[in-house]
Amino acid sequence: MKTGFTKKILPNGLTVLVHPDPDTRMGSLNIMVKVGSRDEDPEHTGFAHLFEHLMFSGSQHIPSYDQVAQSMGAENNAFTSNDLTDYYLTFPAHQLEVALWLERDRMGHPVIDQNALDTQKSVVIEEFKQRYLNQPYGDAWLELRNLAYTVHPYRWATIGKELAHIEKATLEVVLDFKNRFYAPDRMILAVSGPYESEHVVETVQRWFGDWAPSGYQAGPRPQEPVQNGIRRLDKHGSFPAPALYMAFHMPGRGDAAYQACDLITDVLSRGQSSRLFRDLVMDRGLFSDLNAYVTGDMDPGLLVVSGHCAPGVEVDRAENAVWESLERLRHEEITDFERDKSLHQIESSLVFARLQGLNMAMNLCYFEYLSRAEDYDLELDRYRAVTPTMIREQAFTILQPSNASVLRYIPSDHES
Amino acid sequence: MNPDLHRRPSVPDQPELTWSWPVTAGNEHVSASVLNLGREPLLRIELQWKSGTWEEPVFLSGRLMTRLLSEGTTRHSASEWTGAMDFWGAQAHFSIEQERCTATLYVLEAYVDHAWPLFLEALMEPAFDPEALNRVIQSKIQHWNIESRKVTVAASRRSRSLVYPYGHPEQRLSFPADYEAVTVDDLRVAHRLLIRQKAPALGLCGPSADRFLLRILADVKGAWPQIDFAASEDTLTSKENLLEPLSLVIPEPTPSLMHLPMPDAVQVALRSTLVFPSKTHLDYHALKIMTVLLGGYFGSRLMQNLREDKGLTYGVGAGLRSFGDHALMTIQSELQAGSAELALEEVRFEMQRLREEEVGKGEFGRVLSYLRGQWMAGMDGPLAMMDRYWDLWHHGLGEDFLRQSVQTMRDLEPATLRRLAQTYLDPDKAVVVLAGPGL
Repeated sequence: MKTGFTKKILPNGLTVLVHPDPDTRMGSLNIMVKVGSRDEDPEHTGFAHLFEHLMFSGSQHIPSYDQVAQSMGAENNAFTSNDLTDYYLTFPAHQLEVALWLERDRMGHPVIDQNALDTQKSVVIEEFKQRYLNQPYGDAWLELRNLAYTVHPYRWATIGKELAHIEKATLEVVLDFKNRFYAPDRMILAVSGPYESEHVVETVQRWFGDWAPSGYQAGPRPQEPVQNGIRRLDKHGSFPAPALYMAFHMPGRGDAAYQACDLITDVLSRGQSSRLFRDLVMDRGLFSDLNAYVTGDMDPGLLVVSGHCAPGVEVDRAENAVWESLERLRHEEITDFERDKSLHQIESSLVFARLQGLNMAMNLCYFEYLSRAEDYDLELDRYRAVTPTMIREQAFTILQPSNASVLRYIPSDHES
Repeated sequence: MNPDLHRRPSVPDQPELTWSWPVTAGNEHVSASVLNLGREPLLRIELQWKSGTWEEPVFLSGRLMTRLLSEGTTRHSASEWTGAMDFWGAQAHFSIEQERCTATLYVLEAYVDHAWPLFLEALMEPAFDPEALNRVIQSKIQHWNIESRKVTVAASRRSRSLVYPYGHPEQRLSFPADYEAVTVDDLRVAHRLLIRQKAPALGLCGPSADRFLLRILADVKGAWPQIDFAASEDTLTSKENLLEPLSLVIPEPTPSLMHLPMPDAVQVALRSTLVFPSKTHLDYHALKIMTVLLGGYFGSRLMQNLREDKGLTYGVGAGLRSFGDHALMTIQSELQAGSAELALEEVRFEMQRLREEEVGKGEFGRVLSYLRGQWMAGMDGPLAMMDRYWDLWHHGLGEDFLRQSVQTMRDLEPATLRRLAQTYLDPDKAVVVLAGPGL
């Protein structure tokens, strides 16, 4: 797979990527800011995400971002992760110039006042409740992160460690955050659509070229020490069913071993023919659902196995069965059939991901942030280079109790 | 040179709204809709039937039947079948909604010859193994137990039971005992009635979809030999819309306001529903615009009021979902505990405002521009266009619907919108459900 794109780094540090796609009539603009929750102060968590909300409050020359976006027929949104904040916009292709004007003003001149801050604090608090508190097991990731990490900032969720951090956010701290992180040298901008690359680069240069870089370099983040023993948290309460979350430390997204770890989770739970599904869901009926996945974080992340126990199955028994499956993977190589199956699935996913211009823009930005955009085309080859032996070696290292954090939800007697 | 941020840059005029429409191909016995579009080497093969949960012979049997289609065939165990499909990187989806069954295969062109026969085998020769059924039922019950704790699910379920009249299939809510009552024989009957005895419509899309057409057509014809496809063919390209105002087939529900107490929850879920006419009605396009203006995009009146001005919620939305003979306009949100009464007042206020005041020129133009952009996005690429095609096919509509949609976005006047709001957007007729702690 070969992606045609152009890359240019402007003198102010802004990286510009253009992916021409003559088949579409829609344009996509993606701006990835190199700031996520991992860059936050432990006493002021949730700021990257809160700031993302504030970026929709209008800018110096454009009081209402949404009104302009809607008037150009655009759909827009943003998200914040542990590693980055991403703003995206899709629009009828002829509106590219307006899209760049809109983003230039918002990125460089956002208007953030006390009123906007107060409103967005309320909105974020409601988001916190909706995502984490108002549904069974909603707090699982708050608990799991806190269990698996002791010093690294991944120990808190992007929405923040606790509501109090959001409630106490002041305008001064928010603006300081903006000045440090929102600058062209901390951003990657990608455009996809029916455009000539040269024209797009010139247009971006015209809109963004005058913006001064911040020169800010984030300091080193605390590195998570090697875990030397299993960590456990059992939560007892009114839960509809026992649930199990097992998290194992694993290499980061840019590490050479990442693909082998990702393939471990494919072998374990991708598709109904995967090991965990076939053995523990279908054949033994221990779980009603069971998944394995990687968090895909840039710094060393987590490989997670999680599921809900089937009715009548106790969590101890279910957990033991998972350990048996993992132990097998630590000592035996996967079959050629399993490896080829995973590779076909990955190939298929990568091809389908290319259908949407926005996906292309986002992926190019992400790989540029991770290493370089050109590496996006190497993904399939990197997976193909993984051997069954490499998978066994990674499984042996990662999937051991001393590297595990286990969170279990145990219903009260009357619930079960 | 510094850019002039004070002035919105001028851009070329909006291009004409156009679309790629599938061509109907085949021979005198069987036909298919084919859309040759895109560049990536993939193929989507889809079979659709105009029958769904509302025609289930036994409650939940159609839903469990479609779920069991991927649990093995008479020739391959579930492990063998899923293993082979996964091996070829193929994704098979079997689903059922109120008025349709859908079987979709996504596969890379290189692997079509391997995956397509397996896909067809699952559809025609499902095993319906009792153990698999029992496992799926237990899983569904577990899922039910988890979901029923959510305020959104509780509000949604109760809302359905209030909107639809007694005896309507949508009015009946499922409980664990209903799942446990379904037998393998029920699945077989549902399979025969919903899949085997009804002619499917076939659609293919991808950059070289026509290359696969003849072979797949022949297989489909062979799988349903008793069906006279020529007689059941639905030629959409020449079909005119049914633009006569229709009466609503389901009776207007009794307006109500219900609070489901869920004291442990930290937010209140809101569902407010009105019955609107379906896609086949003359007013539908304008009602869609009205719904978007009220709560269908980020700048909508409800979003601005409840979220941006008052911070009562993370999000609020209004959506319009069309069935064969009616549509439901539903407003939904998860609200700060203790703010539900205020939120309800504001929802009512925004509905009344649309009934009493004409929408200002700026806002009106903005929502139409937004919808034109979404219209283009909704037909951009082979998969999106095919989705649009199927949706219209189910309503017995064709390209005329798209033309009328464009025409409405061009010609609609604020006065017309207000008149429609007065007719349809009556807060006193809404079925309102709140689920959660105190209001």
